[in-house]
Amino acid sequence: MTVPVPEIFYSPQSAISKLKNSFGITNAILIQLSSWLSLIAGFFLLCGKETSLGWFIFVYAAGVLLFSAAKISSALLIHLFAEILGGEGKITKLLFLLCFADLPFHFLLPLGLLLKNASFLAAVPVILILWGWSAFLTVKTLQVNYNFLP
Amino acid sequence: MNENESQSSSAWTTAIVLLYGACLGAALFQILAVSPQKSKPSEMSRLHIKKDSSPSVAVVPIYGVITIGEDGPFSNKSTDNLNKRLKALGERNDVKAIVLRINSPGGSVGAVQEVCDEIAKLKASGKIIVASMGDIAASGGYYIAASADKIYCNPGTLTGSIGVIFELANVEDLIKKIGVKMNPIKSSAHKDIGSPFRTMTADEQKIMQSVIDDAYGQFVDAVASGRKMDKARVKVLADGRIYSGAQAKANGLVDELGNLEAAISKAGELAGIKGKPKVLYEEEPWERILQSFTQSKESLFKLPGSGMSGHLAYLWEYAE
Repeated sequence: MTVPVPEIFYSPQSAISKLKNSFGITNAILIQLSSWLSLIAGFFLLCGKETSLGWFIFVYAAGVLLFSAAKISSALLIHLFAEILGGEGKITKLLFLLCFADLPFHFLLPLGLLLKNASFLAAVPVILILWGWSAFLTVKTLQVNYNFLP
Repeated sequence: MNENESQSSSAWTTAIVLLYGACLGAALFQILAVSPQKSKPSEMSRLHIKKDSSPSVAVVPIYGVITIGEDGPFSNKSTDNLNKRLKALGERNDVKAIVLRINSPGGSVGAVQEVCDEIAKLKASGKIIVASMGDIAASGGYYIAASADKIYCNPGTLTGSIGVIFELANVEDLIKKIGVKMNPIKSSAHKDIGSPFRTMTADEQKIMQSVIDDAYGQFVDAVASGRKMDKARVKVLADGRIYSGAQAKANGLVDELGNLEAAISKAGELAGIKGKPKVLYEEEPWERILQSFTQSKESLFKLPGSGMSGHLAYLWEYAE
């Protein structure tokens, strides 16, 4: 199934519901990896930092490990609280759907190109806005996965 | 979703993926510094020199044994890189003074002299150079400091050790014991001078001594001209001994006792910067993290003066 990328942005709930039924793990992993790649590359661009290919790969690999650990731990916590609150859903599905919640971080790449060398201070609000958007998609994901829909 | 909507969504997704790919390519092109129009600012960025426009004092660290060598993937401590940094700072109009933060037992003669040449160029271009000694600034470390306009050190800093050393091993007895015989085939009499497999001849001793004396003379000249001291006076002090910071001040080898902050203030004052000067620290942020992994290994296996064997060195060997 093709990931309905535009739909996730303008109609997240229905897009996530569709994704829940498809379970295309390769797409999810690719989107998650490219989100983190955009986050790191965008941050480098906004801070006006140049580096070697080796260093970039090292930073990216370290970032993937760190973000993965954070994602799995947060998913475990979310799952625990969701079950306590009476939600019904699988943690594997949650992890799969959470990959799409990071989609807004892809915007950091074009924004980084536009605001290149704008300094660390410019990077912070941009990342915060995208993080807020990602948090909104995470909430939608929880609602869909644990049937917390109003 | 009907078929038309599905097709439209697929087309949009494809377009977004293509756009993203283009952005990623452009971003990597910028980040990995492969742009053909590489300008000076990007060179500065590569050297981790922060951009600034107000009059500033830059702090340049000179730590460890000073040598010319290849930089590793996680370290750029050779004097080639140090000289590049000094040169880049020299080209900046906002940098009015440079504080050399020295914590070094010295290093190879060539490397030390190359750094001094770069400092001389900076001074000629009107930059103020102040040296601030940390725990130790002996031998080559002092050679570099001597070329500064002012030298600051702590009362307990180890400095001095003005002299040259060329340490050669003689393993003749050892290889005899294990039954190995070396047969050097040489073009001329002194081609294997300094061979560790035989005792040095009197002639060779004389040649080596003359080289040492010449390098020693260069050191004495550099101190005399840098410190504006009488050569005879420098020779009296330059018997290879180390001095504490307080002793060095009493002997005129340093100007003031004080820490890095005092050196920065003085540099700002000499450069005519009003108030507290803006300070630019140069450091490789990633290197610090990696150093924490490599430092323990280095201190365990590093022998005194290791890496300097067979090099003419302005080095206090037993400082490490």
